[in-house]
Order: sequence, then structure tokens, then C-alpha cells
Amino acid sequence: MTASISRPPQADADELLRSELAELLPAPPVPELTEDRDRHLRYAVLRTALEDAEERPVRVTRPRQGVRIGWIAAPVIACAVVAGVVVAAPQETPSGSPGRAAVGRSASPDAVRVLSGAALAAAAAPAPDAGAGGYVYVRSLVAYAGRGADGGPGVLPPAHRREVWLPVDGGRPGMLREPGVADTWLGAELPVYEIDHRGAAPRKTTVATAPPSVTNPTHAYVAALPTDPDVLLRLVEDGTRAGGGDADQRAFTAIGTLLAETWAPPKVTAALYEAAARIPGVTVLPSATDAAGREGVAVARTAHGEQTQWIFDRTTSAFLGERTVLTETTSAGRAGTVLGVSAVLVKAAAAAPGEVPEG
Amino acid sequence: MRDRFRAGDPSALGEAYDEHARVLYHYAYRVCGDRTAAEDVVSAAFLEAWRCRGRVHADGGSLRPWLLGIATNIMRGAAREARRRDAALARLPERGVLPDFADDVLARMADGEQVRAARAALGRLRRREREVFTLVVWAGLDYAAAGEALGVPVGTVRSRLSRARERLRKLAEAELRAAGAVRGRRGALVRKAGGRGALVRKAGRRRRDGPDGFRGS
Repeated sequence: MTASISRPPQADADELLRSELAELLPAPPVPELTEDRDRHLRYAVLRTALEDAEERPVRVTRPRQGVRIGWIAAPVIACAVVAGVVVAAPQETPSGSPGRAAVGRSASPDAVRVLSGAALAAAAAPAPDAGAGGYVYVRSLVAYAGRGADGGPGVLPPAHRREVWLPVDGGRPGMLREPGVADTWLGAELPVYEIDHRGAAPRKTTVATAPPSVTNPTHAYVAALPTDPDVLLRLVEDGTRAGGGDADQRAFTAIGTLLAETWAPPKVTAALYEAAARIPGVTVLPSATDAAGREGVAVARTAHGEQTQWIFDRTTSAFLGERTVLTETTSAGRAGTVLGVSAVLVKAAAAAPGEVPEG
Repeated sequence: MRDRFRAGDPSALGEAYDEHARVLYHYAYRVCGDRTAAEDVVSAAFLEAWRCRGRVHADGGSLRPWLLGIATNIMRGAAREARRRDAALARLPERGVLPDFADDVLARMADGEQVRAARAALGRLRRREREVFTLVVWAGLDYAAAGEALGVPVGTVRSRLSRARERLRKLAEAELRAAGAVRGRRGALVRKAGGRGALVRKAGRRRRDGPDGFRGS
């Protein structure tokens, strides 16, 4: 700013454009990061980053994964608050209680039966035929409750189509397509131009994408998941360690997402069901309906006043979809309010993102 | 500072946090419209930056454009997770909104309304225009720094911004017409302000924490 006396006309034009834009759509005021949250965030960032450097000098992937989950699940603070108030399902064990892993780990006998049936059916299902360089295509119907920022109960909109192309192997982005919204690349690499000094030619580099993980899977990653349910469950638990609240609920939800929007080989799918059957607090609902109106039997897990349900076809034991329901009356709605519902319609191989497989 | 960050000096991470966290937070909050999401973006951006610290070139200016670029990428890649987040929206009130003085709550609601209105207008821009717009106008990067953050030449920053201007002007004109038709309508999502038809009502207190002025070096 010292040499502003002889500013080139371009700089003036740039500044003019900027101020005109600022007038058209000024930056909305946002609340400050409170001192408390700031301290907490700073501590979390430093601890995660530095801990990681000490423990795993080579593979420094954990923090990213952890944070990605933090994005999905409710944040630590929120869950801590809720957990103090909410009494969840009676089977619920306190999250993170040590020594729990060895003893009495299991869903209810009914849930184990449903999940075993699903595992048997899955083991006999056709294997995914997506080859290297290709994509797995998953089409579903989904609806998620929204509510205005002024509060009021959540309202479930009509279900809409959701299509996802998941790359078979890493290094290429996936794609998400929903009606009325431009296609979105998932996990694309960001090119970053480094400018060494003023006037220097930019050097192109990229920010590496996170390696595949339980919560950020490629098809190859899903296909290579362990088929031993105990090993698999431990992997899921490790991959969902970050995030708040109930560790078992995080594992259950992560498995649900893998079931809904990836296409695992039969043995892996079977292992996912058996792993879920080892999660304490999983129960059975005699009847539930997915987003496509298909009725079936559900296994469910409740935490923090919300129940996540996986719906299965009664006769074929095929996975139909998911549902999330409030189990307590809160400002988000009465108990029984549906917060989200989905139905898996198609899983198929696709040659390219955006290409809809026939049939 | 750059060298120490690159070399993995923990104190450099702390300094980078102190210097840039608030700017990243405001940026992410305006784009996501949600405190929790903004906090997640901030921590993810720092952790990602730390993970990729070897890519920071030894000499150069502030880390801010680079960090904002990483945050942009994270928010872009978050579309998949947004599926879960949409579901989580219904839980908003539980997210640590503690009882507070009534007028403070009112002020916060007004703020929320403005963020919502601004995001609605923002949603009318294409993603590329939107990203350049938020980095330059809302986060206060200069054109070169925005280009650095997004990996595009300065000329592209310029052309995207002028496309954004065309679109926003049209939107503002449409708003003015609509406001003329329905005079005094309350609770409109997008309001006109005096003067040149800003898309969002400008409150007197807007400058409280307005664009975080920054000129990349």
C-alpha cells in the first residue's frame, strides 16, 4: 500500500469491482468464535496434529479422518450436553467404558437373528462387477427433515432421487447428483498455485485427498475390508473414534452408510451385518417403511433421543433403506418425528461418473 | 514462520492458528451458515495443512491464501457429508445454545437471518463464481491471493467476479421489482437496502466483524 500514488488502472478496476460486489452482497455478520470455543478448537487442532506426528511418523492420516467424522456426527460438545439429559435405550452402555469390549458384546437376540439372516442372504448375493478404472453407481431415494433457522419442528420434504458414483480406486473423484442441484465432485483434488513472491510465476501443486477410510471409502477399499466380523468392527470403531457421544452409535451409523451407499462384495456385506450384531444396544422393530414405501423388518439403535433404523425385506433379507426417528419430544419435533429416510434402489457398475447404468 | 511450519515446528502451527483461525472461521461460517460446521472446517483445514506442510514452499508470503484454499476444498468435498448434516440440522437447537440475555438472542436471530439471506443469494451463483466471490469479497483476499487459493490465474479471478456481478445485479433488479410489487412485505428472504439495491439489508452493526481485510503478499 505504500506505492499507492501510482496505482495502475487495473488495480483501480479490481478495487471497483470488489466494492461493487461488496455492496451487492455484503459479508453477513457472523457471531465471533467465543473465547471458550476458540480455546477448545485450538487445543483440539494442536493435540490432534502433534499427537499424530509422535505416534505415527509415517502415516499421518488420522486427523483428517477424525475431522470428517466430526462433520457427520454431532460435535463433541453438543453430544456431551445431550448425553447429560437424555436417557437412551435401556441396553445402552456408557460410551467408552473401558473393558467393555471383551464381555457381553452383542445386540438383542432378535436383532442378531435378523442380522444373521441378512448376512446369509448377502453372502449369496451377486458380487459387484465394477472393474478397475470404473465406478460403482448407487441410486436411492432420500428425504431429510429441515427446519428454519428460526426454530420450529423439523419437516420432512418429499423424497428425492440421489445418485452417487463412487470410484473403484482412489485418485479420481466421485460424483453426486441430485435434482435441481449442479453435479458435485466428491473428493476432488484441489490444485493449489504457490506464488513464491510478488510477480513470480505460480507453481502448481495439489493438496492430496485423504486416503480412503471407513467414512471416505473407495470401492476398492470397501472390497478389501476384512471379512472377520470382529476385525471389521474394530476397524470401524478405530475409523470413527473421533466425534462426540456414543462410540457404538458412531460405529452403527458408519456401517449403515457403508451398507447404503457402497457396494461391498458378498462376504464383506455379510461381515458388516455380523459386525453390527456385535454392537450392544441394537434391537429389532417388527415393522418399518423405507422412502420408497417398502415395508420390512428393521434393526435399530437409539442414542441421544434419536433412533437409526435399517430396514430389511422380510423374505429376501435384502437391505432396503434407512430411517432416523426422534424417540423423544424436543424442539425439533415430537417423539416419532421422522428426521430422515432413504431407500436404496439400484447398485450397479458404471464406466464413468455421470453415466447411468442401464436396467 | 513458513520455514518453521514446513519443518514441522509445533509452535509454528500454534502461531498459524492464532493468526488465521478467526478469518477461516468467519469465512466458513458465512459459507456454511452454521457454527458447528464452521468449527469443523477450521480444524479440518489446519490438520490438512499440517499434514501437507511439506508442500509449503520455503519462501512466500502469508499462509492465509493457502489455508483458505484448503478450507474451500474441504467445504466443496463436504457435499457427501452434507447428507448427514442435513439430517443433523433438525438438531440445531441442542447445539450448545445456552440461555442468554433476551436481546442478545434477538440479535443473534437477526444475524442468522442475514446469513441465511446472504447464503440464499450466494446460492444463485455458480460454484466457481461463488468461491471466488466469498474469498475476495467476504474473506478479503486480493485477486492474486484468491487465485493462489483456488489454483487459477488472476485473470480468471477477474472474469469470475464480473460474472458474479452480472448475476447479482440481475438478482438485485428482480428483487427491487418484487419489493415494489409487494410493498412493506415483512420477513422477505432477501431485502433491498437503500442506494444501489444490495441484496441483503445492511444493518448498522454489520461492520462489527465484517470482511477480514487482508492483502496477500
